[in-house]
Amino acid sequence: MNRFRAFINGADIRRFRFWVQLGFFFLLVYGGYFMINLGQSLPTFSCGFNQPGRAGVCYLLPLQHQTHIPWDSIISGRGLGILTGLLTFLAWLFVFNKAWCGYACPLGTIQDWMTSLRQKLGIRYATYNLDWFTRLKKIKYILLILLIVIPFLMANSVAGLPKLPDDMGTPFCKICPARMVIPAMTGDFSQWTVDFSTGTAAAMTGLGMLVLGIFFVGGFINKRFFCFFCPMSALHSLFSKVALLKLRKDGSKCTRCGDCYRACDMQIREIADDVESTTLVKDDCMMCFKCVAACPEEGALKASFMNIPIYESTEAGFFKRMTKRGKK
Amino acid sequence: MTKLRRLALGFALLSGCLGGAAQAGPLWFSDRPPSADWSKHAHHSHGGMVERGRQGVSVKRLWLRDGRVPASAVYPQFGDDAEIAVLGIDGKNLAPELFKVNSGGGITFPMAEEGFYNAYLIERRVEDDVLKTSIVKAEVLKHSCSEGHDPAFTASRMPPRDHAGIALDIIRERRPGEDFHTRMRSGDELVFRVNYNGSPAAGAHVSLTTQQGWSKQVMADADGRAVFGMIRDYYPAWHEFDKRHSEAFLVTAEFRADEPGELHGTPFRQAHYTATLPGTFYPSELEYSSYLVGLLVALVAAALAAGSVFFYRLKHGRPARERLQ
Repeated sequence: MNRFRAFINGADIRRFRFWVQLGFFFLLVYGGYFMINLGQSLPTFSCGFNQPGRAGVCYLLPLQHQTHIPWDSIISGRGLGILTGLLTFLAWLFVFNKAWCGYACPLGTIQDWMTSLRQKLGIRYATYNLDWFTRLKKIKYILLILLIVIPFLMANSVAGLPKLPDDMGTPFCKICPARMVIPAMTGDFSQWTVDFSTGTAAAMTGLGMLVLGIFFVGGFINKRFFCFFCPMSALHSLFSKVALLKLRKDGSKCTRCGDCYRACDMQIREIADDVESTTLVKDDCMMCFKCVAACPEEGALKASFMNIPIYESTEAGFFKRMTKRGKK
Repeated sequence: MTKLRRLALGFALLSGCLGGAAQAGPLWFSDRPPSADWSKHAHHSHGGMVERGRQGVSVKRLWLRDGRVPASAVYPQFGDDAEIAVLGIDGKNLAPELFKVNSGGGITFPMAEEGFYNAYLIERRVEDDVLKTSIVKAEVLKHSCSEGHDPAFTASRMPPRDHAGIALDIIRERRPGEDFHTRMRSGDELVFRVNYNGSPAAGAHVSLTTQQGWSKQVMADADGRAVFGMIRDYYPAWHEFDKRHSEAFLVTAEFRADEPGELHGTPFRQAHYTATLPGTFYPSELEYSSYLVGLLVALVAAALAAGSVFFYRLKHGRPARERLQ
């Protein structure tokens, strides 16, 4: 048992993650061709616009449809639909927590591939300074609020103001690069257009293409560029504390060397600085566990499922990985 | 021009209401109500207008229309001897309810399950030794996104169904990749199959008439198939363009057979069948979507972002550390 545990703790998380991500990428982008359907409340960007390739639908799409609801229909079957969708989303999230971002999200995987390409080309990457980091991380919460409020204001007049136009429907999807990028993986470029049927539609789809252009440059230069602004990540973080999969830290074993922080694609400073908290799933964390792999201290960081450690930092594992990388 | 059209339409509606069951053209079904008052009862859904029935079940209301051109077809009452059937997903008759009001008449039926329902109204009469049969058909979709989008389920509910006992049946063949969300659009090619007593009605005259009256007639081939390319039939001022603007079209098939017999004691030597099937189509996406502008916007944004990064790095030549990952 101890040898098995040592084998796991000495594993190359990057290789493991690469293959898991590849598997999820094929499942979520092409699974529909094999009649696989995981429902429409997935806590990851399995884009609903990717038809018929999708094997399930990102929860944000039905959420925006469901919140397009008049006040008087909230206590009805439609209101029940919102509740059912949310509960299904939570059930998925409850098991894998934010590992949906680090291991399953097709858009995240594409960004990781862009990072690999940049590294191969020898181009250095960009980071945010602490000031910008603090400011920008709020954007995902603003987007989350807007994607719920805008559909609601399309169905309801508030304070005598006119309702928002129908062309604002699914507002986040209109600006989400996944709408363009994921269907393109199956050869469908139909979303790469600006819709001139109304001013609102032109503005929303134009903004979407603008974000797409920035996504390609940002995703190339900055690791997991879009995840920083992702409202799905914000929604995860609201419920991540109750999930079964956790990232734990034993502060007494931490030397604050900062290796975990430097390994973190999301620049989460607390992973190195915080020696008080025992659970460290911050709102930007995608649970890739690269921090665990980068930690040389015995048991300082660990991934646990239902409080059972499944992968933890060990000195032997650290040196095994470093030796392997050194040989390359 | 628009005012004239509205006036003509209003006159046609008025004369239809006053004229009762006087027939000017083929009978057909439509889910568009005759007045704004009736529109209040219905809401838009995938598959057209539906009403909310008991326990939240969607109810379809189909109005009988009379006239070849959808824009000017009147709302008549149907005859008392008409045979009516609505065949559900499993092919069983759903026993529709009939309604007659001052502004017209038709049928209503609940649609509990997702998929396509086929409604039929059949009228027969003998004129000049010829049995004249009108077969009014509507193929109605029930879909709500809240019930999910299981591809296997959708695929199982997509194929059109042939119904035994319908003398002349028009069946719309599905388009490649069609699902519950597919809309027919200008520029699409639509294929209809016409069956006479379950076999291809080769040689049947099949016509398609659009909302504003454009019409094309073809002869069904050996397989009973008739193919139509949907034209553009919507020319609003640019600022009035609505991509959700739906236009009706009407497919009519006529078939004559030497079939002597008698109807309620009246003999006939020949039978003449007229079948109708309405549909809806929307403007082509190519009318309002631009790949060129989309790509230009993305390229300009990417170029500006890349330029900003490049010049920022020129100014702040601080290398970032990248290790341990």
